[in-house]
Amino acid sequence: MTARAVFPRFSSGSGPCPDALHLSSRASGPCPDPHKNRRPAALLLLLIALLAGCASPVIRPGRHSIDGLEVSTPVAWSAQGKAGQRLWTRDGPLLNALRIFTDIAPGEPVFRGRMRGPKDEGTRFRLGLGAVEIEELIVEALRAGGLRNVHATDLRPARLDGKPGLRSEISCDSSTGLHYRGLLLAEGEDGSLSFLLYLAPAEHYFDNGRAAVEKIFASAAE
Amino acid sequence: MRARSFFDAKERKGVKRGTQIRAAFRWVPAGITLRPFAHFCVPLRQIILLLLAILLLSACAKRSLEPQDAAPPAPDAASDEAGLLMQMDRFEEDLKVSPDRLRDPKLEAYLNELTCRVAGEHCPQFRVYILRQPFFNAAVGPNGMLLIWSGLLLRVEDEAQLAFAIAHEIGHYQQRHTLERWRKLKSTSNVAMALQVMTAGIGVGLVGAAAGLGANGALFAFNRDQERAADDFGLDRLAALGYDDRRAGALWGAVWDEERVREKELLSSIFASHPPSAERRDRLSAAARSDTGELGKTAFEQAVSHLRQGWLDDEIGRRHYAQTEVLLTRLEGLGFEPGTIAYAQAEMYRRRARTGDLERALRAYQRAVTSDNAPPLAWRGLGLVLRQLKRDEEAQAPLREYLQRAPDAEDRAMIESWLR
Repeated sequence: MTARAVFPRFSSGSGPCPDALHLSSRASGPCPDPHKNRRPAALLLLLIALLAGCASPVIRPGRHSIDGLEVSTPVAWSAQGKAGQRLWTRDGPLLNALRIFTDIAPGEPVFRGRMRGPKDEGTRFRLGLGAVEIEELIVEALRAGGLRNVHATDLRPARLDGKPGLRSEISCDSSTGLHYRGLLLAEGEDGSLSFLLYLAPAEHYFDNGRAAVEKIFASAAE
Repeated sequence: MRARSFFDAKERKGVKRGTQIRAAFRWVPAGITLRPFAHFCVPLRQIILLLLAILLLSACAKRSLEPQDAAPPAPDAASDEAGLLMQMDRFEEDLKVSPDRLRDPKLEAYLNELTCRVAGEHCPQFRVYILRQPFFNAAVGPNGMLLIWSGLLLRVEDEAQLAFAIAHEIGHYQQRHTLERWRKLKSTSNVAMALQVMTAGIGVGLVGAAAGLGANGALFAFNRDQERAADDFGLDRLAALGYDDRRAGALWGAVWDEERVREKELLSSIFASHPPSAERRDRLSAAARSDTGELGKTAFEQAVSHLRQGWLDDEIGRRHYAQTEVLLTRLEGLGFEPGTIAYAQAEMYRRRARTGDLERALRAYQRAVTSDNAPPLAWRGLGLVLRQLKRDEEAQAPLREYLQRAPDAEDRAMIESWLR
């Protein structure tokens, strides 16, 4: 099962990987192998080098600027995604995933995913939404993404990037019935929607990562 | 040399076809003009050959299966039927723990009892599961698992209509349509699809019971004759049990009204299978024989009313507001819990938020909060809409009322911060 099964609309980005290209040129450097029977081994090494180049970059503990949002993490993460839609994970997206979405414009889908066409009316951010409606919108987008029994609790005021926003807790089930818990920090005060959403299986993984995520949320407040 | 274009190819084809047409109509006397669409005509010899081919193929058609016995013996373990049953049993095991399964002892008891009555001597063969999915659908497996979607329960108006939907599925079971469909899928060009259907129930292929059933949907996509046979069985059972069989046509008429307004590009059909049509509505209405009969409105209402608000929320979450609007207008006309329906209308308008929708939502919330059975969330919604309309002062009273009516409100801290 892939991350898409839980978040089918999440895009991890596309296009050539610069590291891979770099490694590729090095691997095919000026040392030609005269023996033809070694060619498969060389190709295999090249493939391994290419794949290694595509490995997720690591977010090291410390302060980082993520698409204009200043956050500080006490632990390391693997990162995927592209500008405006980042995914950080420690053990894999199904076991712990911190999604950082920034500057979603009015009319844009919450998870920046593919909609069913221009007539698709739901899960789009719009101006004038209050904290209750933003929480509701994100819950609805999670449902639309295939999660079941999605509920938000403990909605309360919070700050994100220096703007008034909201905090709440999420609970849901994956389509196969695995129970998840999550934390949400969001704001839509400046004409666009930004949010951090942490989701992990309720058993072990959520509590295991909670303290680190709380510190990241606290660092993102101002 | 000029590159050959698409149009060149078309022109060449046209010339060739023209030659063939002229050859085909050589027997037409000179001076008689052929019809302008003559190029669509097929030579007589080809028609005769086609008819002959159809006759030959129809001779190859398999006979329908024998109806299911009331106490069927286990099929031969080496048969394809045994394989299908095994897969369905595995699917049912997944279904039992699926997050889509709705567990409500009151409703389950009601549906079990009704299914047993409708199934008659086949009663012991059925096990009923309710799926919380906002689609109008029901399905029965060849192993006797009967699935009823909450979207169907939201749309039926009384026990007579629900009994018809169940009887229709039992008709498919009794006439072994799934096995027939399975064998057809396995034949010739559909082998790949049949394989996909089979593997959908295994391991990673099964992502949730409803999705799995979607993958298995091909098994339940019956042909028109099978649907008619199941409809006839359903009408017979309604008559035998003393229900008003005119309710079947009324049900299909109502869901056809929703289907007509759907956005085709959104793939927004509420029907996972059993596509509706005006023809089907008319056929069911014409086939009804009773002038009167039991409706079972009270029993049905007692079984579902406590769940309706949740189902309406799921329906709004489908985000196909044109269809939801038609449904809510019908439910409002039926007089089902006016506060709940008005609240659902208000929520739909607030979330759709097209021009004028906030004002429509405001009026619907105001209707909801003046009815007897409005949920506390109706006061919250009223406050939210007033805030969106920049009437913050007016929003205070309904938000206070909401907190009073919902002491454990999950958003209390946020609402209180607005009221300070």
